[in-house]
Amino acid sequence: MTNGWNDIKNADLILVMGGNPAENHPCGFKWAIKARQERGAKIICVDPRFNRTAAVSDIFLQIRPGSDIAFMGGLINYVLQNKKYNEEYIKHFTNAAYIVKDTYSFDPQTGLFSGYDPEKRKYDQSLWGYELDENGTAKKDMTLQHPRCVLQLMKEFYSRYTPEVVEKLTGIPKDKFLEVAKLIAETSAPDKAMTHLYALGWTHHSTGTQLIGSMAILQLLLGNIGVPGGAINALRGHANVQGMTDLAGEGRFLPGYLRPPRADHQSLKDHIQANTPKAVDTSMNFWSNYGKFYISLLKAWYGNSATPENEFAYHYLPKIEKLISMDEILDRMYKGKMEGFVSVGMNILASNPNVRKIAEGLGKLKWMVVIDVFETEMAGFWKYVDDSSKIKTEVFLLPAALFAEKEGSFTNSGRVIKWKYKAVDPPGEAKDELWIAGQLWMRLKNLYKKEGGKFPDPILNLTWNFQNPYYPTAEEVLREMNGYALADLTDDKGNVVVKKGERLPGFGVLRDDGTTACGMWLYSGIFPQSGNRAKSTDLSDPSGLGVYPGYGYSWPANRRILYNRASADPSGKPWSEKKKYLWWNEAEGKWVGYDVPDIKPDLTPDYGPFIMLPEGRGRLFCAPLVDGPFPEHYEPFESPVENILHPKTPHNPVVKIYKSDLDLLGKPDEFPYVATTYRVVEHFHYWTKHIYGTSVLVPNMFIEIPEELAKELGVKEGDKVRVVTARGSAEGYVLPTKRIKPLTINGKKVYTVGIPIHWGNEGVVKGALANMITPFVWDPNSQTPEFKGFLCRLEKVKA
Amino acid sequence: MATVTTEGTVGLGLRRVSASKSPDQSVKQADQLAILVDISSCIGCKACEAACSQWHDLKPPLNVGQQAFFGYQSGPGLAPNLFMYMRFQEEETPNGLVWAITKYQCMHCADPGCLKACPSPGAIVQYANGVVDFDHSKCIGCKFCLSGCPFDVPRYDANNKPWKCNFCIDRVSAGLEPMCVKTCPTNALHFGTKEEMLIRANKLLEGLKKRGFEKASIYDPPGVGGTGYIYLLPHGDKPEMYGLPKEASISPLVSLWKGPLKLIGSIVLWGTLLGAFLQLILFGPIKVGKKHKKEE
Amino acid sequence: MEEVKNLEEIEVERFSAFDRFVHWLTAIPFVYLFLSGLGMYSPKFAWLLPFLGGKEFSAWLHKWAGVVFAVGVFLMFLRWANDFVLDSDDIRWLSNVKHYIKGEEEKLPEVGKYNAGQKIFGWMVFLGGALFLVTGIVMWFPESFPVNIVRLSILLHSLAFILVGAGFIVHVYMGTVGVPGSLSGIITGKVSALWAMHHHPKWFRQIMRR
Repeated sequence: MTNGWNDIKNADLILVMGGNPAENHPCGFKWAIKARQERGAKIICVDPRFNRTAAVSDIFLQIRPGSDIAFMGGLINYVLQNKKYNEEYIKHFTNAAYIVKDTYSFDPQTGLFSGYDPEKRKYDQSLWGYELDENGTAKKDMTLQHPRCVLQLMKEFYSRYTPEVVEKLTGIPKDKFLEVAKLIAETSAPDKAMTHLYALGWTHHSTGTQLIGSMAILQLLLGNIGVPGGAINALRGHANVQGMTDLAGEGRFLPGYLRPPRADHQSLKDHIQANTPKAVDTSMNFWSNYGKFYISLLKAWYGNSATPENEFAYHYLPKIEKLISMDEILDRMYKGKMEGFVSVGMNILASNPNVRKIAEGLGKLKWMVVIDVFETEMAGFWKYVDDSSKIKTEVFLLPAALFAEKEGSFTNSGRVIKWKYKAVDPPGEAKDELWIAGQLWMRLKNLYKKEGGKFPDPILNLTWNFQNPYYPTAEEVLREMNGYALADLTDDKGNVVVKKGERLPGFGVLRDDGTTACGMWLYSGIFPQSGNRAKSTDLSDPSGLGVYPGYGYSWPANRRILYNRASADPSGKPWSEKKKYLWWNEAEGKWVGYDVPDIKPDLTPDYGPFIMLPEGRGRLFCAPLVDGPFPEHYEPFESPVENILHPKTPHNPVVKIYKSDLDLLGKPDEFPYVATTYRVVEHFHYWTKHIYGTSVLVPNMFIEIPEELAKELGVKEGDKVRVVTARGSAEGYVLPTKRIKPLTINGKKVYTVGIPIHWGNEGVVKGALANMITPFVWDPNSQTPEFKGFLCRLEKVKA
Repeated sequence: MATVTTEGTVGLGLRRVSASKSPDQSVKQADQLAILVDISSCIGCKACEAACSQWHDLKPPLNVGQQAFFGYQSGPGLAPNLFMYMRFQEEETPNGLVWAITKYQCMHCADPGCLKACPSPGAIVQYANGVVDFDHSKCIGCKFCLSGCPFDVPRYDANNKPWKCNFCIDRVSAGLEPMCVKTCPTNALHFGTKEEMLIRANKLLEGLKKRGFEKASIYDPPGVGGTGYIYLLPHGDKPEMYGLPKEASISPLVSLWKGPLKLIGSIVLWGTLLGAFLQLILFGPIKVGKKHKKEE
Repeated sequence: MEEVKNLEEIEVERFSAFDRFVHWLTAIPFVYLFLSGLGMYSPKFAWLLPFLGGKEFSAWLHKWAGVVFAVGVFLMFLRWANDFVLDSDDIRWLSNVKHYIKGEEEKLPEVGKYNAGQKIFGWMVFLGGALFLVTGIVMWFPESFPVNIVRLSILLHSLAFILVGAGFIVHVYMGTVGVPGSLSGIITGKVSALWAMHHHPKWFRQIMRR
């Protein structure tokens, strides 16, 4: 979330698309209800189903799964054609005025951007950059008239997305679309803001990242980023999945979104240089601090063993040749290229597409460790293999403690880190993961100590300064993340600001000379000398805007709204009294307001608000995305219709797909219906079916289908049906509903089938794993599978 | 949430007691309590349903299998071990599709039909604060309370004892809000005095009307003297959509049985007894021989 | 006088063992049903319930006693339905019932084995029993029937109770104090010939002919 949960109450319009917060984030959704009750905000829900968010929304639009970019393109086009954008905002706070190199182009006939290599299925992204002047500064046309300025390119690009085209692609009637477009466009007024709530309904597409990019474009055009009640709010699904992401939950990051060393960066210097961007405009260019964060991280990990002489132990880290993301792991496993696997709190069998492929893959491992609170489907994966007699995988199940059985912190979607105390002891032999990690680590270390090894240094020299090395405490780990001074730190005038050994007040004091250690720069400041700020529970809200600066700690630097400098106009005055949040105090020469400024406090207003980017401006044109600088509509990999925009390139041309005997895709003649998977509020993933009290709430796996389709198939509520796709099948009780209507897509009648995911063959209630049927197709930017929008057919199961 | 207390369970005053004279109201007074269910803010998450079962230590029925498929509902309805449930109904209206999701439980009528129907003194009580509760130690298991109830609420266990929502009288008596209210994530449930709740409901109603729900209304059926649970219905003209009877009142059949018929019964039975007695004293037994003896 | 004395001493069989069995099979549960029903029907008689085994027990036994009662009534119906058909004499008897109350049986048409009052009570029991049974089953399983059917059943059950209850009071009175000499008929099965000749002359002549 670029803003926080509480801030939703400041919105004038709440667009829910690509998420179902009433069901999947019910506690946070109260802020949307509050916005409506207290400010008369409207809630618009766009979804393939009339879900429980739709039930309390003011407007609901039913969209075909996988056609969201078409809808967004239509909105962008509407805003551009009708000049509904906030001109001052886009001129000064976005790259609208930037001039793009003439090597960039897009061919609407083929649906391809310039630089596509069909062999490698990759673009040459270097063709898409800005025109730079001799100083390396991006060229701009502040009149926004230059034919290759971003705004003009974008106008031309999205001119194809007329309301008629939107209707043909999405199934949303033109008049309904225009009604909503008008409401959305109105939020570009300086005293209005729209917030956008989304979750996996958008990320689970082969164009997921582009989809979120399309919303970034819209919100930037409307001037809704950085202002109270605005924002793009990614609603995270687990209590601490944001914390997991921040702490390198993905292979492409080290803690704090730093990068793992790559094989072509054989020295620390190379690595830092490659990851330290150069400002192309008046930008704070925050990533220019990359080296400080990186070396402080290495110092936290390797302490005295990290010296300038050994490049701060940079070579202790493995240098990857290729990003190994979940899709790659699963494919390698299936191809027999992996030996062992440790899973902590994950059910990769149930949570990933094409269960059969994954189960076969797990069967090719020599060993697997599952650290979880339940005996998961993954731990008994062989039940999903056709012939399990040949499986030799040795499975170790280590019972872990559930969230309430251990202390630690949660980082919520709004980046607020809050301490959580232990409520009860874990049952039986279940243990806190910190205990398990401590035990594993110390035993490994002792083995290396005793027996040596090929390269024991990274193991033996790792900092492990915990009171009980076999059981580190959560606070000890948090202290390490916060960081500490390894020498007295002085400011420009030579005054000591942090004494040697003291914990750091924030990432502002980090150094690249090895005098600071910091395990996670983004969280630095959470545990200063004064104590653990995650434990703070001050409920005061001086501005009344739901900032609550004393409640928990919001990364970065306890900032609640990101890019909050954009809440003031280019001169530094609030856009409107209603949306007053941060402003430039001319007399004092600094930024003041209700929140921690998201800019160096004394940096003049001509600096751009988007400090993480070398432009300092928000990107309407985003060259670093591998599948194109502008979001374009591509059909899901399995689609019931052709791509009417460019039939020759129906799908995302750089999508990640794999070729194996189990990576099968279906065609509409055999699989005529569009299927989408989702969750229901009563269940949490594949956990709550293990608990009686939650199992009773929705006990049966079901399949939602339009009433019209039920009639066609001759099935009635409670009959058993089998959803069949090219990968496999899943059975459930059929629930004919008025809430999913047949759609007319370019003249063709298209049915949507809804499949909730929460069942499996373990637990109090059992059912089919929905992912038996989902396709192994992945977004090329985020490596997220395409769970929303694939093809299926239905078969009645005889009782 | 308002913090209303009822001065402790032991000291709860009573307003009505089944099959008994009205208790003296002058000794103990209490504010009428109410829960406002704002349907327009309810997302149907069933947190209240789960919390209710948890607080009351219930193990609700697990409805699995083809015969027990109820879609989004946890089951067919209330059960002795399920005091409330969320009801789901899809309805096409002129304003588009409505998914009516309703929290359903005992309504705590001001004039409770169950209490009226109950023949066992003290088995059903209405506390001074309006909460209607059962006392199983005095219940005879006749199940008449179900027939008295306009909302089809009481459900019976294996011993024929009725169970239903008791407004968390234990919590409420200790100054806490009922469990469902405590748990509701979207503040769709409000708790306080009936007066406060009506004021709040009217304020919310105004907002709903402004949002275009012209037929929105507050459900507080006068037929049972108003209820302890009041609902803000966006489609107030169609309470049936939410599973609520349009005209909730104690059935005339129950009133007839508990009213005129009782009187008629007394007259007939006492009258017959009196008649027999009169026959005895006026004419004497119908003996053999009156005639025969004369014949001699 | 001699003859009279003889008649008084001669016993004739009025009810067979089976008749008596059926009567008491019905009557004993009915007494329980009547008293427990009264206790449940009116809180004023709730004090009866402790004597009947307690509130819960009596409510429980009420249902099973009802089942036995229903069986008894059914057997009675098989046994006596024919006998209880009203004829023209019965109508005349009924229209002049005031003479019976006054003990002036001579002013009434001659009575067979059962007088019209007994016949009517019989029908009350048959019809009331059926009504009790049907409505009782509904009340036993109120969850299985539409609520208005349950409510109607309770109402009709009460109504049946009032009518059959009133009949029962008369029946008991007549069988004991009201018509001396009757009780033995349903206990030993025998009544005196005199009693038979006097109250049921037509029937008496019939058995005499045999």
